[in-house]
Amino acid sequence: MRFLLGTFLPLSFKTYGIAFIVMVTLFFGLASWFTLNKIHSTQIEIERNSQRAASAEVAQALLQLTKELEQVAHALTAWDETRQQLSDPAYYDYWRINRALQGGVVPDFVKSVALYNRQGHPLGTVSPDMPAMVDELSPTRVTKQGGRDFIYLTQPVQDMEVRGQISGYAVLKIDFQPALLSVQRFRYVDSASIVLSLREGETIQSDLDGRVLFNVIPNEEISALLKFMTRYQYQIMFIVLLLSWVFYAALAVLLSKPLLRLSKHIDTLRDGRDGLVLDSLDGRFLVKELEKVRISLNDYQRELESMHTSLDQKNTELWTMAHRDPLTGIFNRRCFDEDWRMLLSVASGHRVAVSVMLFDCDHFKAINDTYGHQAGDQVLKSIAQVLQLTLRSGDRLYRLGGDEFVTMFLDADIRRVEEVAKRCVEAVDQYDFSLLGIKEPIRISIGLAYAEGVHTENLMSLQKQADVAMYFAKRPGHGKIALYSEDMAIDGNALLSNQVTNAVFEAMSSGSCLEMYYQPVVNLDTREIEYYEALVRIRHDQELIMPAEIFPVVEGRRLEAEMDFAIMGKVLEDLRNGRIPLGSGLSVNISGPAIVHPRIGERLAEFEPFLKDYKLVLEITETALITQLQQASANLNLLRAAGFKVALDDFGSGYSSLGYLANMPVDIVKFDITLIHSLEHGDERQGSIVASLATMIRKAGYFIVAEGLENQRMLRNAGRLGFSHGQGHFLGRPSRLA
Amino acid sequence: MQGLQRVQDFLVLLVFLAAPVVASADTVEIRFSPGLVGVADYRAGKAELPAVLLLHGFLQTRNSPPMSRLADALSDAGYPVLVPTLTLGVSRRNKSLSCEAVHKHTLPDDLQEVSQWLNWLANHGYKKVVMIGHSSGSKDVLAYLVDKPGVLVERAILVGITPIEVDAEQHRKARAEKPAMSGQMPPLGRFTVAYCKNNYVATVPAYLSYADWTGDVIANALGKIKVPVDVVLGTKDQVISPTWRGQLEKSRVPLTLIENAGHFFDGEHEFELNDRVLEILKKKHR
Repeated sequence: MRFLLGTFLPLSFKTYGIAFIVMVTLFFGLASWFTLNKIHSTQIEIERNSQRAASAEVAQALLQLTKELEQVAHALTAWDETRQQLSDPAYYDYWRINRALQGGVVPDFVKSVALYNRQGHPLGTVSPDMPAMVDELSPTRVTKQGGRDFIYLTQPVQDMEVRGQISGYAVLKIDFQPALLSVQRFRYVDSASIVLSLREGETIQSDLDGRVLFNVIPNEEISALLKFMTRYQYQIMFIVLLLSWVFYAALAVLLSKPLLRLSKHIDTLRDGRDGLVLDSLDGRFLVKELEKVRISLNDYQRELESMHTSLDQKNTELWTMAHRDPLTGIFNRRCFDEDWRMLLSVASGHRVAVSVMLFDCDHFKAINDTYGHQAGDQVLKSIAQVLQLTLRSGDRLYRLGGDEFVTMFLDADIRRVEEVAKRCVEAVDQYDFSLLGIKEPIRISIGLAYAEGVHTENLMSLQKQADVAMYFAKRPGHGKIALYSEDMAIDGNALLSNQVTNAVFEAMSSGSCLEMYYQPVVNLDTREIEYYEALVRIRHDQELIMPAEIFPVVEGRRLEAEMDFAIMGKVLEDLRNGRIPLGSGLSVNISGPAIVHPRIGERLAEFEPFLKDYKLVLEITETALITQLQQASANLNLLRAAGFKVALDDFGSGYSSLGYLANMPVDIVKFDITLIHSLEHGDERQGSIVASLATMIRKAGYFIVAEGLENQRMLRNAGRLGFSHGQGHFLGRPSRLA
Repeated sequence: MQGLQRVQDFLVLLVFLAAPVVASADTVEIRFSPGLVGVADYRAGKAELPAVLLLHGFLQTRNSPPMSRLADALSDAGYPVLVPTLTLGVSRRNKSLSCEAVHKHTLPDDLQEVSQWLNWLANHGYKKVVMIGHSSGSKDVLAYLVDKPGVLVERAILVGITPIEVDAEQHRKARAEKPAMSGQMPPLGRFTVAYCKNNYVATVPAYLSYADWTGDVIANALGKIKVPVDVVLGTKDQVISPTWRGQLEKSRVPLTLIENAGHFFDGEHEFELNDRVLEILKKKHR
């Protein structure tokens, strides 16, 4: 039962309506059948009663007829003219023909009369249908002639003079049917149907019992009543059916349809996506309760819409909070990651060009440290604002963290992307950061990566490629914009290699795999090694990892200070172990983060015991120095006071600002290898500038060192230009010291 | 004498009550011939008063007005009254005979029956008889008195006497045919007689026996009879022609007119007729 209910239930309103109609129809059908059956049995009973009544009526009529015929016969025999004929039959024929039937004595159903004398002989001529003779014993006879039934009634005529004596006989020929009808008005018998059961010419005695055949008159009123009741039943049936279907239609219109509409509306509400808000359920319902439901649903929907709107706003706020960078107002890393995934899913499988443009503010850390975080924040906001204005309105700009921004282009030509990148660089260049109190120029570097591939892997590597490109963009000679190429793959791989990263981390943590190589810096005047520049290598799995692979990882992970401290430890170890020739010197590269690190003093203090035997030089890059000029200067001054020499490394690869140089606490200026190479390969003007610069710096009291001397000619030029020291493969490759 | 004996033999007197003078009538019969019995109502009266014989009109019976009611009035006045029904050939006739019935009876047959009823009265001790007839019955009275004048009848009162209406052409034709019919059974013919308009079925002799009593014959008879005669007429009698009335007025027969009375003296005129007849009777005996 439960299974059946579960299988078939619930049923629709219409199904219940149809079931109700079927039940009503069945009920009324059965009731009608019962009524009609009752009517039929009543009809049979009535017909039976009518038959009985008709039989009784016929019997009564026959009785009446007998009496009537007796009276008629008596009237005839008592008639003066009858007796006159019997006494004087001279004119009997006239009388029989003209008077017997027209004298008003016998009724019309008497068709013929004949008189006979006492001996039974006719008084005159006898018509063929009348008996030729009669006597006292002649019975009443009934016969059929010409299809009609006649009664022959013989009546003796009493003698008026002698009592008990017969003076003659009268014979009456009586038409049975009219005679019967004259004595009885039939109610149950169809009078026209009354006939005697006789064959033509057959004659019987007067006993008519069982001989009278008749039809019963259908009881018109009863028949009409039964007919009416039958018709009434059918009408009731028809009306019930009609009403049932009207009820069904009303059910469908008033209940089912509105309920379906409500259900559909609710389903649509349920299936709504992304806050899709439907129109209200319009159109009044005819049923009050349903109309109330409709109104309530609309009210509920409005409330829902209101809640939805509120939730939307909250979601928007949340989304904004989750996807917007609170400082700059642009999209954040989370948003980038989502958009990136979306882009991958959209672009995957299609030959769509995708470009990633990665922005990085040069020396931002130095700016931040120099001018404070608030100023740094303002710089970031300004950069974000400038970049957003420079990009197309539909391009999204994301802040990945720190001073890194990124945007991406879909289906854009790389040349146009590069143009956009240039405009961005120019726009930042042209922005007046002095309004923020920043005196130093603020620039950005852009790493570009471009792919036009079908495979998701190609697209997924774009971010890394842009990162690698950025690394190159920051290098001197790339114009602040670098488009990733296969050539960058090695550095990129180093930067991104897990093997290198692991090695770097291991080296920093234990220092065991760090290997120090020392490249001599030669006094060009004496041609003697004045000191060695400590250059780090990492021995990993029998392979030697070079600085070109090490420092992208270090810088990418912001581990400059830690690496520097590790190197210092190895150098200190070499010093202690006497690997550095006594009387020479040693230069160590100190990164920007390290020079401003709180522990730098503590770390370098360990070198102070060697200052009396060794020339200890701290090489600091121009960029590192500038970004944190104040702190760096303070620390360097302290170190100089302690006996350390400070060399400005890679001069000419960055700002190369003489103004800065003047304020920097340095003793030595190392010209970048690019400047030295420009003397070899550059044009005359460039060479002249480098030469002038070298002269000017030298004259300002700095020792100047030429890097990258690779041949005799470069050595000669360096000497000619006044470089006091030189460094390069021509003078000595980096090597281990015993 | 033999006829009287027959009358006595067949006289049946039915007395239901030993009644006073105004008692119901007795029915008396006379067998005129085998198979033909005549019936009359008889009321006995005062012995000093003459018996009155009342004769009904054409084809009527003793129960027909005005003679039936006049009989009652006379009986009430103490007169012995006998009111017979002429048989017209039908034994114990008690209904009017239809015009279409076979009429073989003749006026002489009627007079024969009247004669026997007078004998009956004589046999019952009546010495004086007054005969009163109505319409055709008056003619019978007149014909009897002309034919058989006797001492018994002392007076005749003829109420509404008039020649019977016949079609002159039929009458003439019948008279012409009559001699040829002698010796054979005459055929029946249809005639106009009185109110039987061309449907009076009778033999020529029978027809002529009544039709021959024309106005002139009646007037002549009135002049011939020896007993006093009174004639009573209604002034509004439609059966009596003005000619006939004028003819009577010119005769010497006493004529009593009852104003506005018709042929049958219906309604109030019935009593007036009775009164006039009684006055005539009393006038005689005063």
